[in-house]
Amino acid sequence: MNHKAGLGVIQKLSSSSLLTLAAEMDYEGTCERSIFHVASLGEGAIIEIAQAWSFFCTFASKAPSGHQPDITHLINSIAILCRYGLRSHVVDYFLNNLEARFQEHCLSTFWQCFDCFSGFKGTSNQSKEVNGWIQATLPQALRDICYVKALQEECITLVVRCLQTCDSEHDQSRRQQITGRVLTSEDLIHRHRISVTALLLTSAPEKFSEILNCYFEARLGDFSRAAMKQIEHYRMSSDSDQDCHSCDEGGSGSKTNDVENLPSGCSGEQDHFINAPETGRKDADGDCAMEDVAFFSASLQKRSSLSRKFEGIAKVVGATWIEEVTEVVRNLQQLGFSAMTEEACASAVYSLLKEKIHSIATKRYEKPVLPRIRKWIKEIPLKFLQVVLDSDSPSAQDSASYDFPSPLASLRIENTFSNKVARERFTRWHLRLEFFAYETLGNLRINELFDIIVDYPESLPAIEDLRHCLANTGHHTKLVESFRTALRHRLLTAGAATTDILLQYISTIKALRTMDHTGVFLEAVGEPIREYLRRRKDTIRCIVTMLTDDTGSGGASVLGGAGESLLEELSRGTSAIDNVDSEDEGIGDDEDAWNAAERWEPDPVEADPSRTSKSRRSMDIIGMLVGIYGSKELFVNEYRIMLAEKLLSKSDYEIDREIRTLELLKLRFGESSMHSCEIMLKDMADSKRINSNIKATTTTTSQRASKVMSQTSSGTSGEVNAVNRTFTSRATDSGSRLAAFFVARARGVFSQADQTSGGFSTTTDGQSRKESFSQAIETSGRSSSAIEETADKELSLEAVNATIISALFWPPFQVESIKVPSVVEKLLEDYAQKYHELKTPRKLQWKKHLGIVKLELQFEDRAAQFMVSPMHASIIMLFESQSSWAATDLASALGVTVSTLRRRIMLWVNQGVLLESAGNRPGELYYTIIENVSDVGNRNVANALRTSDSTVQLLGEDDGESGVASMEDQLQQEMNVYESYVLGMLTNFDTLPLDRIHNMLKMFVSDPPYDKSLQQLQAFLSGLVSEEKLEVRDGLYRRRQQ
Amino acid sequence: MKVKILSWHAVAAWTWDAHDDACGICRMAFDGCCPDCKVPGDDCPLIWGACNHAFHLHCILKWVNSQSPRPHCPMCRREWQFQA
Repeated sequence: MNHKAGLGVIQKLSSSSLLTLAAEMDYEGTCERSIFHVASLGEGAIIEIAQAWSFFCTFASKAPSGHQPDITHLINSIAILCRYGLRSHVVDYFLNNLEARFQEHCLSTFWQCFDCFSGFKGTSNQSKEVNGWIQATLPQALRDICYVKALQEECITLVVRCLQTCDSEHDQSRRQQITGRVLTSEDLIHRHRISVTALLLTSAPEKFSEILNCYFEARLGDFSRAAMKQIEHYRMSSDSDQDCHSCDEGGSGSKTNDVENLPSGCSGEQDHFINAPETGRKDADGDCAMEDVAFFSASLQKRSSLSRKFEGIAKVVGATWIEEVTEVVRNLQQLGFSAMTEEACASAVYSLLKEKIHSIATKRYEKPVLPRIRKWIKEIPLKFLQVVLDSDSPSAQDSASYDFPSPLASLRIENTFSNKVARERFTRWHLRLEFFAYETLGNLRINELFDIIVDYPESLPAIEDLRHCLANTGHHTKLVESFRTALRHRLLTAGAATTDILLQYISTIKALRTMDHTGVFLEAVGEPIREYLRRRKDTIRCIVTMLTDDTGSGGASVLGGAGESLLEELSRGTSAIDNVDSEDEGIGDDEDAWNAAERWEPDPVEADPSRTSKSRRSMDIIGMLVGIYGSKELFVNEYRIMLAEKLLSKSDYEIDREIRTLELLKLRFGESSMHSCEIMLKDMADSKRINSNIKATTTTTSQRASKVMSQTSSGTSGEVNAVNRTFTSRATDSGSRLAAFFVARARGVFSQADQTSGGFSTTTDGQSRKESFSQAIETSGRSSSAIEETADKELSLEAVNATIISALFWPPFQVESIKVPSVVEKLLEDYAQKYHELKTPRKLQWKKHLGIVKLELQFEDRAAQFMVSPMHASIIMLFESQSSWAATDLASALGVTVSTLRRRIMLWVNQGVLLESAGNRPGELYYTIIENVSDVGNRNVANALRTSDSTVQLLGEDDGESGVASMEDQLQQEMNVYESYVLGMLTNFDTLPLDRIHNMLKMFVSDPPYDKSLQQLQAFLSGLVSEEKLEVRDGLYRRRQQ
Repeated sequence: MKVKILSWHAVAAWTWDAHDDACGICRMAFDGCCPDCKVPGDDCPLIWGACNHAFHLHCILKWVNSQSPRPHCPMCRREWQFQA
């Protein structure tokens, strides 16, 4: 009731502002007491209150206006209101009023400033325009709103001051009552700020953060450009006196990289002014001794002004820039946007950093970029942040001084706290930026890892960088995953050559070794490659080739280069791979064991627990390559085959290189596994000796024989003498031709004849032999008319060399029998005979299809030299007597099948020596010699001849015709043994599944022991199925019913 | 056309021509070597007994030495004598 009466009075007396008070009181409903109080007041008091309130309201409603209000009146009014216990209402009303006004007027105008931002979005040259606009708008808008806010805060201060004056007028008891809730301007301003910030943040549009981002990006851009220009300028000037700067760091040499290659002198200088930005370093530069002094004194100097603080930076980018940025940042901070500001700055810095890293690091692996990036971070982003953070930091406001985490900062005792905060903040930013750089660069490098590894030795710096990055970020798993994906897409495809894969694998091994010493990630990455290589048939062959081929030095082929490095690798590595799986070998005494234990480090968590760390670490490249197949036996076997091929294709006996390689391989794989290879090489050396022995006996005996012959014949028969003399003379004439051979052959008979019977029978015997021999010549020769020509053309033992092998120690050879021309046949027989004499009771068995023949074809219009297999030589020698052959005849003359013949004869057809033509009957083929190239008019032939004219080539080895049986052939032959077992089994059991067959073979076949895998058996059985010997149904094999 | 053979490099395998594959003592191939040897050929020769049985020299020597005073041929139990 009283309440109502009070209200009524107030309504009667007051204007609308009083209504507000009433409403306020009513609304608050706070103090029943104060209402009660009002109600209990007299009318005069109420009028007094109303008047004071109305004055206060007027003041409040136009509070942040420019002109000074009537202070005494205001104090009086407030005092009156306070006296009646309306103190809190005064404060609340005032703040609310300010807030409302702020919201009403400033807020909307402020946000309106940025309305047209969205309009920029679609435009083409967005960035430039936007930046210009932002630069024009944002600082101004911020300035305006901050001005308003400052005014409002001033008013608050005023009101608070009034309140305090009122309080001081109160009596002691009252004051004490009030002190409990005494108001300071800080409290109110703080309240005001919070509400303003809340208003701003709640009403801030999405785009505002975008605008901030743009702004800071642009400012940072300005700064970095200016700094770069400065650096550029600096370098130009310091080029002249570089000697005093270049001491601390290399890299100033190249001038191509304008931005990233900060010259050392300059960067050193910049570093210093990071540490002590106020020293005015530029003046002192170049004088190191001076620098330190200046630096020290400067750090003790009192810093007073902002411009002073950023003197170094100001020199770079200009004081206005700094002022502007600082102002904007400070304004933003005052408006409560500090979080958003920092975020925007950070994103600007991050994006610049990212851009930077990408621009200097992408696709460039030859130089380390990490140090450069670190330096750059110190140069640009950190200094930018210095400006931003400084205006941001509390220390900047608390005191005029600002300190950086300089090494000398600890000397300063004052401002310790703010120093610490600032330094911490700064260091945090530094670390954050570096980490971001590591992360970005690491990700970049991880994605590029495949390319990096492709040009491995050159890209070592990039790998080092990546190692640092990974050490900091620990993104190893990511690396493994990404690299595996890259491998799958780019390397392990059908299109990649095995050698390329191997090369890449080797590079990968080397690169990842550099990066990670434990080998865990190498293992993870290498597994897919190994698995893939295991599926390729030519892997072993490639490895062996790479391992043994050291001819590539200086050669253009990639294979040669890598092979060389592999050979080097081979000569470097000495550890035998036998020992890799034993965990604790080689620890000698207790001390060693103790040391080893001290050095022990646990494997990374990603490690495969089934492997020991030792095995991972001790595996070298060769070991890993050989380990692709899990055992060295395959590898050794393949090497044996390749060695055999190589040795058999040699026409001289030079094996020095092979010996060297073999010695290296022996070191690695052990003597025993390389034993047969050693025998092979020994065979070569022995062959050389025996060969020369045989030659020597031939010449000496022929001389001796001719002497004996001339002596005997002089006494007995003139006819023989004459014949003999012709032969002797010819032997001396033509060095060593038919005569030598003939005489040598006659020798045995003569010596025998000397012992047993008279000279006459000897001579007749000799003569008959001569006759038979000349008959042989006639038959094999083209015509019998010119015996001298024939003899001239014939071979002597001189032309025959032989490689004599210990067959058991060589890989099995392809079984192939050919008939060589009778001339050669005879020579070979003779050679064998000589061998037998030399090495009784050993004998020779010729492998007639093996070896190499160097021959010259003399046509009517041309001549050409070739190096071919004996088969090819035999073919072409048949054409000597007969210029055209039918394929069937030729095949039977050579003792081979027609298909083999056709395959082999293609060499001569391709070389333009023979012409293949179809006969009258279908399927009949004729081969004709091409005497004159012009007759045929075939340009290909002419070309072929021209190229092969002067050069001596080894032909026919390229189409898989190697004399040594390949691994598959060997395996095939081994499996053939089991055919009868399987067939027998299936006769008894009708049907059997694969594993039963496998088990039964394992059980019953003991000679040779069955050691094949299930897969090999399956392949073999499917071979039998395709040969229609077996059939398979539902996984059961059965014999095919005839 | 004429063919002029400049050189003919042939390949041959040597054999002991022992009419048997393996040594009766060590069961290793004659053309290989006895278990104690590494290198076949001259370093591990064959030897024929009077009974015309061949063995690796090293093998039969070991046998003969262990069989004193009167060694027999391991194959035919005849008294062992080296073939002249």
